[in-house]
Amino acid sequence: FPLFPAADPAVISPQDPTLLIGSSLTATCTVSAGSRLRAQDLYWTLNGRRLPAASYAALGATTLSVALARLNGSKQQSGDNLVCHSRDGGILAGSCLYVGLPPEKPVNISCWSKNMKDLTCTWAPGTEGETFLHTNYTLKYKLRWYGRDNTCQEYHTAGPYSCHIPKDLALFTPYEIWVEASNRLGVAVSDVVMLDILDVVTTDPPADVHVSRVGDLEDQLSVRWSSPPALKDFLFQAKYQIQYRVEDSSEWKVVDDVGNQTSCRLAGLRPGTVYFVQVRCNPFGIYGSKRAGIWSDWSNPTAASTPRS
Amino acid sequence: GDSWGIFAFLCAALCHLPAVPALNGTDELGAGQSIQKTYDLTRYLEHQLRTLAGTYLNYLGPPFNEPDFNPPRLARAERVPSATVDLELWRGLTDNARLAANYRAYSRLLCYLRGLDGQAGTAELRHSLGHFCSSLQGLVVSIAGVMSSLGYPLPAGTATGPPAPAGTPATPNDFLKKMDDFWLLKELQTWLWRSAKDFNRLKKKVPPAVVTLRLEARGI
Repeated sequence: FPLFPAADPAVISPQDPTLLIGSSLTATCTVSAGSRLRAQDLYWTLNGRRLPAASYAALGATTLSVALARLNGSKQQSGDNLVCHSRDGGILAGSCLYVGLPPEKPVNISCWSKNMKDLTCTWAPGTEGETFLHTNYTLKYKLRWYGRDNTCQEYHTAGPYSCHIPKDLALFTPYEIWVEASNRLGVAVSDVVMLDILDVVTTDPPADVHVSRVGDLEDQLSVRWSSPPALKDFLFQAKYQIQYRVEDSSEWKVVDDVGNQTSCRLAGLRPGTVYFVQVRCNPFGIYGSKRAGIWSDWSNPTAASTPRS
Repeated sequence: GDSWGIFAFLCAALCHLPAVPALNGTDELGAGQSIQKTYDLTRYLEHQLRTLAGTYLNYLGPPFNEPDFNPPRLARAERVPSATVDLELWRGLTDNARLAANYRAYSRLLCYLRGLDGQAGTAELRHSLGHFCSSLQGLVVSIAGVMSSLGYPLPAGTATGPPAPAGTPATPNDFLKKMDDFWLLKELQTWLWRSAKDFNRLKKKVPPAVVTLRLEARGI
């Protein structure tokens, strides 16, 4: 393969520009002083496709320009490859074009705290979505009446637009949380969300879910579980929900009014049928507040069957 | 009188046992397993790299992902250890020299790979790159293991990062970086392909007699 001396064989200008979609660009390729090549020996390609000679212009003996009009968004986020070639196809120089849009304001910030120990937030990119440029998201948070901004460090823990704050979170005090999106064309900041950790607490699903028959009763099953252990010191009243379905159906029936008992009887069931049962928990009223928390995930399905008639 | 006779008989019987492999022998058996593992790891990396390179070159975009793309190797790309050497020359090296060359090359290739754009592409691509780097690190360690089990000294001074040759600008432009990335992946592919052959050949050099000796000793 051809080797070149330490100096580059040609220089392209502009080198690695950032442009708005729809803008036009005139680029020039100038062969270096020692080269025997002339403007008429050169041609251009964009992402591997040869550009029409009609768009070229020679600006002096060693410089060839190309005019690109109404640019589309970059084909790949690493930049469009605009390349200056010598007549035999060899690459003399290249420039990466970053064509796109400034970021949209991130929206739908939603946060939850697992057992009051941490905070995970998710968000969505703005409505346009595709900006054609790599967009960096930074989640920031601060205590409402205390100046310092903090930056979240652990990203992608719950999907591509998420961040996890593992510690040092204060309770009983509101936080301001927002997301900054930035790319080569600019920055967009989401609306600020204000929340108290205690308002967005979720917990592990209930443990030890047992489903058993009720004597010989063919239309009933008894469900028992334990409250999630992680919150037992935090004065909360759990609310529970049960859902169940027959083995060969995908339709779940939900039992909503379970209250804070850790057992419940399902009635009106079909005899001799296998049922799958799941339970979830809502840490209602943490530290005496009246507010509901966030429902936990459903427990793993537990199976049991009603007696045959 | 009789006890001596029994003793002599036992001695004679024991003497007819195949000798327990000498310490040297055990080392060679250790080396054999080490070489096999290194060979397997090289093949695994070859396979991983095929997918990774495909994805990364698509990220770089055409013409980088075109099948016959062959860009010039400009001065910067020269820093990447080249795998294309005279095969006769390569085969003529001692095992020690060849292993040392492999060790040095992969150490530097690993450094360059780790220096690939940290923001590159999707989270998935970054994750694949990270995983590949870990596996490549494993290969470097594995080669060191083979060298040590064969009694060869490790080449010195490869722990530091690649030195930038004088005269290169601190930040080459993005297009030159893409060409560097292209050559890095290409050289990595060639190195792995050739290393597999090297380790396969080295494996066959471990004397089979040592292996049978150990099996017979076990059978008693």
